Amino acid sequence: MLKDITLGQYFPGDSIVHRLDPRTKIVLVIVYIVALFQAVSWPGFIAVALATAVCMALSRIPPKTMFKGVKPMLFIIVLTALLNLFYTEGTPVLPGWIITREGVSRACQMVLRIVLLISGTFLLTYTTSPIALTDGLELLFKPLKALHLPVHEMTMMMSMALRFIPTLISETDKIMSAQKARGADFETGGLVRRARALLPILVPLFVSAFRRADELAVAMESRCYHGGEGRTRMKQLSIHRRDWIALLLGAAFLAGMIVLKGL
Amino acid sequence: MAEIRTEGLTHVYSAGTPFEQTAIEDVSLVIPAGQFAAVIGHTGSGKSTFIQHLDALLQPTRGRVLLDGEDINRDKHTRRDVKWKVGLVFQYPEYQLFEETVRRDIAFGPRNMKLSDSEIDERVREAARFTGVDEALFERSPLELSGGQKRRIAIAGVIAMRPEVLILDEPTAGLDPAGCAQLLDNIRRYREESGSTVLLVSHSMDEVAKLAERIIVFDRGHVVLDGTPAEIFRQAARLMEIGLSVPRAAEIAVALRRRGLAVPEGVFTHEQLLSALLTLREGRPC
Repeated sequence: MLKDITLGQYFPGDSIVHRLDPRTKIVLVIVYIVALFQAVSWPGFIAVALATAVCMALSRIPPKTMFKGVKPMLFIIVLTALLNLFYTEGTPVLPGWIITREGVSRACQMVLRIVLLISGTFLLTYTTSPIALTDGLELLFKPLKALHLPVHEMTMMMSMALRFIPTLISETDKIMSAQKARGADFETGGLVRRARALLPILVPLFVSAFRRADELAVAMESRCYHGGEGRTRMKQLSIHRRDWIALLLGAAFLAGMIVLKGL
Repeated sequence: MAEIRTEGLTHVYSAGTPFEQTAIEDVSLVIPAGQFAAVIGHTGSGKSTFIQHLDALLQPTRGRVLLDGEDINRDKHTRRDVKWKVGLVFQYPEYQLFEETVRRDIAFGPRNMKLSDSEIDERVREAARFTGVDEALFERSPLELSGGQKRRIAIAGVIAMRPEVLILDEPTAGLDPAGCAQLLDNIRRYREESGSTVLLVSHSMDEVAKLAERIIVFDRGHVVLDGTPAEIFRQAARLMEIGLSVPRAAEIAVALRRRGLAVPEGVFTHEQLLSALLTLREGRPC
């Protein structure tokens, strides 16, 4: 079912990771990605993997769910593994083999890097509601307003897009069911036939997306929305002690990784 | 014609996640061939989930759905064949229209059945007649017509498959009173002429009080009441407890009874209420 798509889904909870300020989490994810790319040898990778595992445990997101998010990337992961396995020069594993010891080690490291990259960033979207996420982004990018970048408009668009993904998914689900009830067949036939079979879904979906956009615009205007100028928020974000601690830990971790790389 | 039977039907959404939700639990029902039944319940009572099982659009978490004694979920083929026998009209069906012309949209179902062109044409005309769609509209785009017309075209698209069981999910939602009355009249006539089983999902008791032979009440995923309209409306107080509206007349009868007036049980149409009140006045002249 379409509902089971986990990409970027929010997983409600009340762990310490959930309660961190979204700005803290966004910054930490950036720190995390930079730190991950400082890992060039096994000790580095193990350090990052351990840090990820600790964060995951703290967030109380079931590991099964985390790995479900990795699944769509399986193709890229396998491709990376194969390329590294066969195209790394060095000492063959057995005399006469193309596969080298360095290749095996590189392949493992690359796979680990991708998996860690995905699970680290997913930890952010799993523990932060889309609204909190865009609020955090807006505040973080506020300084860019000085460069006349429409930060508020961009984040508003993003939060609306995020808000409507589930709506559109359930709408697609409904339209699919309705057409299936009329005997539409999405599963058999060649490429052209299958593409044609999508028309009964896409046409109504577009029609309703436009209708929704129109209604939303009217609803926003009738509540006097006029852009970000002078807009206040109901839920003020505030940085707590735990955020400072998390940021400090992040900074220490990044410093450690850089030192480890230099060794 | 076809009989529907469910045995211990249970459906759990998003099993194994924090969003897990039991939509219906242990629903066992028999809807005999040719019956006009109404399914009533609140939003979220599980009635939509229930009817989607009857068309094999949802697979039961536990339990079975039998059509004329055959499990409709036996394999891929039975799941597809059931679509021709059970016609399901979704809520706001006008949002599923997609073809360039009204004729082609109504013909979508029959075309999927791989019928001959002449057969399709005959069915399209017949379905249009049943739902009151004027043939003058056949070459127009369905998207440019009014809401009520779109609704009728969408229902025609299901009727054109000549289903033995016709299920309609809130077919009158959002229509004006005249449109409601006309649509319900069309459904009643379709059922009389075709003899098919009809299952009408609604949350308006007034609507089904006049039409249905049987009312099945869903509440929080369970069937809580099941019987003829007279039997159901006798329990007006229970219905209000669930938070369902009862026919206006039944509501007034309950209120009067509460104030000590001896209005008999089982009053649920305006005519019955009127005669009950008249009898009361004769018995106790003022």
